[in-house]
Amino acid sequence: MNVPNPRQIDWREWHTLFRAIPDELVQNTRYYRHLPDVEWSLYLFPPSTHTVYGNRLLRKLRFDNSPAALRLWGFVLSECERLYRAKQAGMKVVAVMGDLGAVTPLIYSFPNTIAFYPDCLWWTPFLMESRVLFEEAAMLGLSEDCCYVRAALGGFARRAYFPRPDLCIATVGATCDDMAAVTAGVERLGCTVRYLELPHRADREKSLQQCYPPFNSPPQSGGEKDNSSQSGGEKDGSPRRGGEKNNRSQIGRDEKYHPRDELRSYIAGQHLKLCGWLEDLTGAKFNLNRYSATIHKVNHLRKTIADLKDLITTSGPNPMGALEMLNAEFAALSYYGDLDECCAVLDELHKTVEWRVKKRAGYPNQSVKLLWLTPPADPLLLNYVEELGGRIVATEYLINQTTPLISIENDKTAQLPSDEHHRSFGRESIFLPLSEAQLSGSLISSSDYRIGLALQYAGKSRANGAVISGVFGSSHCPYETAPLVEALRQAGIPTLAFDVVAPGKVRMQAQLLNRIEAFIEMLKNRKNANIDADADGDADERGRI
Amino acid sequence: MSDERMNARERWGLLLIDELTDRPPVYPLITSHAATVHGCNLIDYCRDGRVLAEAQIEAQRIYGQDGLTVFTDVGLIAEAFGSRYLLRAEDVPILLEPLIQNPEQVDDLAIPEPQSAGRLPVYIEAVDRLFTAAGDRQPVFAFIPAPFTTAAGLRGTETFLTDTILMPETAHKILDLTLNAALKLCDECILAGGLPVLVDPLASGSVISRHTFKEFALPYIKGLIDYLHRYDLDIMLHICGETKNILDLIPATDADLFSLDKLDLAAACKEIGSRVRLVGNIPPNSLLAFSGHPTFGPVEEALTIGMQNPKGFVLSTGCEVPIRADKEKLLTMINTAKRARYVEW
Repeated sequence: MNVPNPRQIDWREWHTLFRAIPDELVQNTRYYRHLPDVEWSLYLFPPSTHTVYGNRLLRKLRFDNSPAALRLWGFVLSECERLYRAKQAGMKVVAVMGDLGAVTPLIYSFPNTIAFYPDCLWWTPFLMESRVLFEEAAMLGLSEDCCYVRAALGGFARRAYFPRPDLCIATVGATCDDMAAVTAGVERLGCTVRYLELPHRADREKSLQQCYPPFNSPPQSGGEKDNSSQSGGEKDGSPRRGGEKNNRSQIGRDEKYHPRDELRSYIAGQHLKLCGWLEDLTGAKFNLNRYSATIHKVNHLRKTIADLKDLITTSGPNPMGALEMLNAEFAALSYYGDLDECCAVLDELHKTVEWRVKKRAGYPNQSVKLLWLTPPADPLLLNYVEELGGRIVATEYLINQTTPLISIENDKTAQLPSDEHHRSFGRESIFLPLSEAQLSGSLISSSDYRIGLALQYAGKSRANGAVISGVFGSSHCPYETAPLVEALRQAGIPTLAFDVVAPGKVRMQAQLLNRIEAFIEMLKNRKNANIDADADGDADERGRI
Repeated sequence: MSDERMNARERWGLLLIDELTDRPPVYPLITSHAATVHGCNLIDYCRDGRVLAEAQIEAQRIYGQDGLTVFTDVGLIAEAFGSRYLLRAEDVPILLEPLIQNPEQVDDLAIPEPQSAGRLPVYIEAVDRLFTAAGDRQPVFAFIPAPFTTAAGLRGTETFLTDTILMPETAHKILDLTLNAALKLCDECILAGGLPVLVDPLASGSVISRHTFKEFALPYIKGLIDYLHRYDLDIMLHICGETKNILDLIPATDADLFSLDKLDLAAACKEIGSRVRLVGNIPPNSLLAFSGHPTFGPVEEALTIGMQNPKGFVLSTGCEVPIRADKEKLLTMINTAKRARYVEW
């Protein structure tokens, strides 16, 4: 169902519009469809419902007015209840920390098993406009010198934000230090945490050109449509999403610098370890067919997200809000607790966006194209930028490990079990493609790699500017923000960097909003000046001065 | 309670998705008593959303109950239609003159606008202020007079009860109106951040027969709850006084929680406890200073019974906490209940 005039509307308007949503649609929009008789699995409800239960920020946000977006919001905001319901229905719930979406395909391949990321609780204090979780974390030793992911520790302590996990795993090594501190705190609370180790990916750091792309090409997004990226295929030798072909040639060149196979094997061994824990937990043996089926769904989801990201760079008006896109991108982490339904939700969103792009329908007056780096803990900021005339055309939300397609069907190393491979690689070789995907993460290596991604995204999306939303105290932000800003500015891309302000700090928030307003105003002026210059034939090809 | 980690928002949130909490929420119906605590008169409390909200915040600070309540009187919607009520400094408003003197008037009545009619804006303002001030830690319950009770306020209680026998069509017409008015008020309360709670004191078994309840009260309560369920909201129904004669009909209202008054809690658990969460039911008069009733014992007893209720339990008063309730008794009740723990937790 498409609505003729895409708009961003508030919770009040959605409350009224919701009356027009057919009963049948409400009744048929359910999660855990394998449990058809339960009364609690409906989720197509407007933001006002979730406001009443404490998500106070929803009263300030603006939402896309399509039924697809309503469904997406309903699905995202019902995740907490879904996790509890999963436990009540006898499913196994696995808490995963630190890897942000890399190992969840494996977890979901076990029967009746779902995963979630306590890390994602970092949004909760903002959504609720609350300091409850931060205060709890502070009492446990993590205060403002730690990233907002400390909210996860508060969540564990208060036992009211997710059910007691059946298994709690965390990734250590080349992961966020703050999350490592949270994990340690979780252990101190008496929760048994099992660890997976993620090695640092030693990119060569001679120059941006050499550094990028060391292992994986970033997604082929951008204004210029690339059919190979749409299909995940490999026409004319260009990389599939996930860069399998490119990887191989790159690996060939970099072999003496990067022990790539060693890294892959090591991570695959970690996955094998996880596989054992999951077998113990569920009492079910790892099943390659089930794993392949799960990977197939995950790939579908990843491709849908990648296509969505491509679609929003359309030259027409902005077809979808940045908040809805953020929700879509983060679906790749743990599928909001229901992989099948998550795929359906994003398929519907994709159809809506595709239809809008085809009809050149979208929000008016959002003309300043922006690259956004690091997910903003405060969702209001994305709305605010759009309200001012900004449009997020590319993002680097530090979850690149969730973007590559996992090449299980085509990768011969995945055709296991076979005696030859067992001899050559061992059982863990089943997980080599999953490991390859995990190695695409932008958090596990040099800042130069991430800078390379940022430059590429900015170029492909023809962004007029870049915004970096950091987090005071977060281990990667202070180290990465400065070189990112420098590189982007050197490339002629005006860049605004700031730390997201914690909930309740009204004056600091006001100052931040002023800075954003000034930045967008400056970009608008540059854009207008550029249009004038373009008319005189002085503009460069990227539309920048 | 210093050893408590969970706040009221979290506790209620878990209860409503059938999860175990550390203890049952403790939610005595502190309404106009908040004005006493705050030191304001009831006219200001009823007329000024800011005063109402401040009084509730103050009462919560003192008592530490789980939840904030916006409620002044059951005549709120009837007054917004045009019935005249007398506001009193020391007591709750009373009906002076019902609007509908002649059944023919019914066709000309318009649904009152919550943003402008009578004291409805006061209500909305109070909900909004409470939600803004404490909505992350405390649920805000907005008490909505149910259609039957509002109809009595529009027509006059005795006349309306007579209508149900002599002019049932007129009674239903009035009830349709009051249902729509309640729906409209519910919408605004939701948008302000409040969770509607339906109060239907006139639908009590102390006032009407089972037949009248079934015919004239239940369908409209259900209509209201159906509407709110479409938004996936969990709805509490409060009926004062005796409800033994209609207890088996309560699940038919589809209420998620039933706040009971003069009813044997164990019997309620047995009859409807697997389908409805129960809220109750410490006698309010036991909280008066010279009532002669003990506090500790009945609370312990209610907890012992209520905590066994399969669908969940909220320790509460059977009706509103008296305006001049004894502060120490109320604190005793609340703190006793706060010491309870579910052993499985």
